Amino acid sequence: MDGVIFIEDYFDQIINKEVVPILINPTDIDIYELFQTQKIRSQEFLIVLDELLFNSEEHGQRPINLYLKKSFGSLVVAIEDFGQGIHTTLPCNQRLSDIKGKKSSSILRLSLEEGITGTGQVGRGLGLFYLSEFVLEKSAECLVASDSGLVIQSAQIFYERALAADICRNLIVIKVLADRIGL
Amino acid sequence: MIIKFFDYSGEFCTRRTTPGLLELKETLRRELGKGTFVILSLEGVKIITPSYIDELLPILMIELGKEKVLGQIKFEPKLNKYVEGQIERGYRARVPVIP
Repeated sequence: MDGVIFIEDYFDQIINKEVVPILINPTDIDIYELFQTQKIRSQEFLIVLDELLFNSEEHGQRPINLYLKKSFGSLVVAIEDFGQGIHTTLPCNQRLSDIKGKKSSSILRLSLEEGITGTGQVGRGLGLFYLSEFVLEKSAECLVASDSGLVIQSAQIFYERALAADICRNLIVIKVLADRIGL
Repeated sequence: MIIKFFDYSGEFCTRRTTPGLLELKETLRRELGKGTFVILSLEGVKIITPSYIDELLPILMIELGKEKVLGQIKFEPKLNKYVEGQIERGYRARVPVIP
C-alpha cells in the first residue's frame, strides 16, 4: 500500500505511463475474479465497472486497460480505451444537437446524466450514469476525461476543466473509500 | 414456473448482446402471454447488469403491459437495486410520448 493518492495525480500517472495496467482487454470473468482476489464486496461497484467495460467495448478501440491501486484506505480503479471520444459520440445523438460546439468538459459533464448517450437509443451507455449514481451514494470521486476535457465528480459536486492537449483516449478514474466497498 | 437465467446466458448476464437473451425473452413473452406466473431464478449467476435486464423486461412491459408483467414475475433472490431500478427506468424511457 502506497501513500495517499489524489484522483488527478493518478490520472497524470496513467497519461505519463508511470503505472501499468493490471488487466488488458479484460472480460467479465477477469473483472469478477479481480473482485474476488481483491476481496471487494460491492455488487454495485462490480456492475459499474462491467457497464463501463461494455461501453468501452462498444465505442472504444483496443486495448482497453484496467488499472487498480490501493492507497491508505482507498481504492482507485481506472478504465482506459482509445476509441472515439465521448465528446465526439454525444453530439451524434440528434436530440442533443444543440451541444455541438460546446466545450469537451461540458459535454462530459452531461454524459453522467440519465439518458444522455451518444446513440440516443434507449438502454445504451448506462455505464456513466450508474458511475455517477455510485459516486453519489458512496461519497466517492470519479474523473472522466476525453479529448481535451475533464470532469470530476466528488459526491454531488462537479468540477470541469480543460486540458492542455488532447489525451487521445477516454479515461475514467474512480476513487472510493475501502470500507464503502466492503474492503 | 421457474426460469433460470443461468440456463440461457450462463454465469455472466451482462450484455444486451449476451447469447441466450433473445431466447429467454421469447420464452418469457410466451409464458407471460399465457398468464403463467414466473419465478426468475438468479441461481448460479455471478453478475447481472442493468444493460442485460433493460433488454429483457422493459420491452415486454411495453408489449404486454407493465402491470401484467410485473404482476406475473418474481426474482429469486431479489435483484440488486441498480438492476431493479433499470426495469422502471427502461420502461419509462420506452413509453411512447403522446404529442
